[in-house]
Amino acid sequence: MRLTIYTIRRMLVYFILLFLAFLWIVPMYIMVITSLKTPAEISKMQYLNPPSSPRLQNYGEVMRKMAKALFDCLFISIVSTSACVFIGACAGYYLARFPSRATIPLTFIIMFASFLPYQMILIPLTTFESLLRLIDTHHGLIFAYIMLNLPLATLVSMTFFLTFPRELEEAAIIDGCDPLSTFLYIVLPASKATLLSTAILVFTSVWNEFLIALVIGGTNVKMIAPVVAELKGCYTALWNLQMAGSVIGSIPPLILFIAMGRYFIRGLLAGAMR
Amino acid sequence: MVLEGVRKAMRLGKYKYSFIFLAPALFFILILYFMTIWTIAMSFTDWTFGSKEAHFAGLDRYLELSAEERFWRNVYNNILWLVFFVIPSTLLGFFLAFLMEISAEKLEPYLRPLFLYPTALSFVVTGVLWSWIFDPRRGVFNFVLANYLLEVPVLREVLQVMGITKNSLPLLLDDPDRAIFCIVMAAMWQYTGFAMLLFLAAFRESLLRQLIEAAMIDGAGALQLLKHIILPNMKHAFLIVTCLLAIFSLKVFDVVWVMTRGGPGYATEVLAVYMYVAAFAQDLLAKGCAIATIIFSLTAVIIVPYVYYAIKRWFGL
Repeated sequence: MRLTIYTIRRMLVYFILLFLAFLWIVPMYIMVITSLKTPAEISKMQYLNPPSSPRLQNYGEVMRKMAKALFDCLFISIVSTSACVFIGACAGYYLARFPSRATIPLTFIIMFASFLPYQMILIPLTTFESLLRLIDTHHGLIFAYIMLNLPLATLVSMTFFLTFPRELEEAAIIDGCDPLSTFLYIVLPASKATLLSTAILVFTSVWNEFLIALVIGGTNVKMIAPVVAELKGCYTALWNLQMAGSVIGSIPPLILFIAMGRYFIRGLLAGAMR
Repeated sequence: MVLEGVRKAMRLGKYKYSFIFLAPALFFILILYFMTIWTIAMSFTDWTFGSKEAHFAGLDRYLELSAEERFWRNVYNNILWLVFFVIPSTLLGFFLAFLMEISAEKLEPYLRPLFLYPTALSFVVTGVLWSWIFDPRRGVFNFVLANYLLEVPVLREVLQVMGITKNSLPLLLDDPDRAIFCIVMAAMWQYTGFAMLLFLAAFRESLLRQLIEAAMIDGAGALQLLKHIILPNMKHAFLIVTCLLAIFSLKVFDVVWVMTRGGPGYATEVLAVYMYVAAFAQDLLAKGCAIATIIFSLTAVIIVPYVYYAIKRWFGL
């Protein structure tokens, strides 16, 4: 008797979980199959059926609008991510290893900054960047993204270095290594996993960012998010093209998520628990 | 003895090297704070785009806002987000984590990515995708409703009571009263996996897991387990998840902008959208600063205690 109740309950748990997982995967499924359909197929309104023959021209067509944005976005994301991770690791290491009276106020200031709503700096950022003629340039966007993601990168590295064993560094210092070389040659190579998690976290947030890209980007430099949003206006009711654009815009973060899921999740958790 | 000396060397090093290690980060963070203060200061002026100089105007911008029906609608919508986004996402995330934890065979490694992958996507992608799903005339949601759900006998009766038949499908994103819930659902799709991940991490804490195992050996049912062991030990995780989601929903912009631009009318408009419109469409920069300052103050109410406790935990104060 007890066994049956147990089995029924277990079946119920599985059923609920699988049902919810199904609900969560359906939007992605629709997005991918629709991106391969012809407009005629879409107008038949059989949204859940796979395409009769996949039409890759959809991707070709949106790529004409997106190619430049893909390139720019990749460049800007990679540059600002590397800068953030390196500068953040330096500052995080310092805060974790050299405690002083300033450590706690500094950590507070940095952590508070990591939660700052982007709206709060949007107007001064555009004003100053237009004075310095940085609007619609790579430099302008890279500067903004480094500034906005640095607090988070610093904190994630700091939480890691707080738990990093000291013995390695102590051995290096006994051998006559100064703190800077210890950091560069001993600590950094030993913390590749953290740097990678931080990098994935920052890269995803820069790649997916919309508000700053909308205001600072424009015609010379395009980020991927505003371009995908534009597709919605350009191709009204041409959902195959909208979805093809969305798929293209999601590929880099999804690749990171699938190929380096462990680091992705680690970064996400560290960022949340900061 | 040697280690003492090393630690002393590291202590001395902290002054000498503080500049090299901290200066680059502090440079950017100081600019960030400078801009924040600047926004607050400019919210007390009459600055508009194109005006040569800004004059001090006291609380004028705030009084102007408080007299606007539109502003209060935005505040109301942000409150709707707090209630209908934060609470359901937290509970659903917890529920998923709980089910994964009690399912005997560990489904977790296979199911977790299915709930988590939307976290990797851009809000813009979510917005584009879900504004099609919730398109009232040719969207996927109404298609499924008309062709599948309304074909099921019992469901049909239930939906009919709610006023939904094949000839009167819901208006979804065109319905001023309910469009906001469609946007909230899209955001939930994206963020529930994140909440679930944080709860799963909390379950993994060794102490809690031992308690659960002990209780299960003693024959505790799922509900007893939940009430006496899990909930009392999960307060911290609940606090983290609700705080993070609340901060997010106070500054939400992308998904609303992409799905409805605040429409129909300004039925789904939130503070962040109005801030963007005021500053960059209406050129009322001081007003934009004032709305930003309001968003900032509201989030600060959550952030300050959150940061305070996090720092206490790390440095063991």
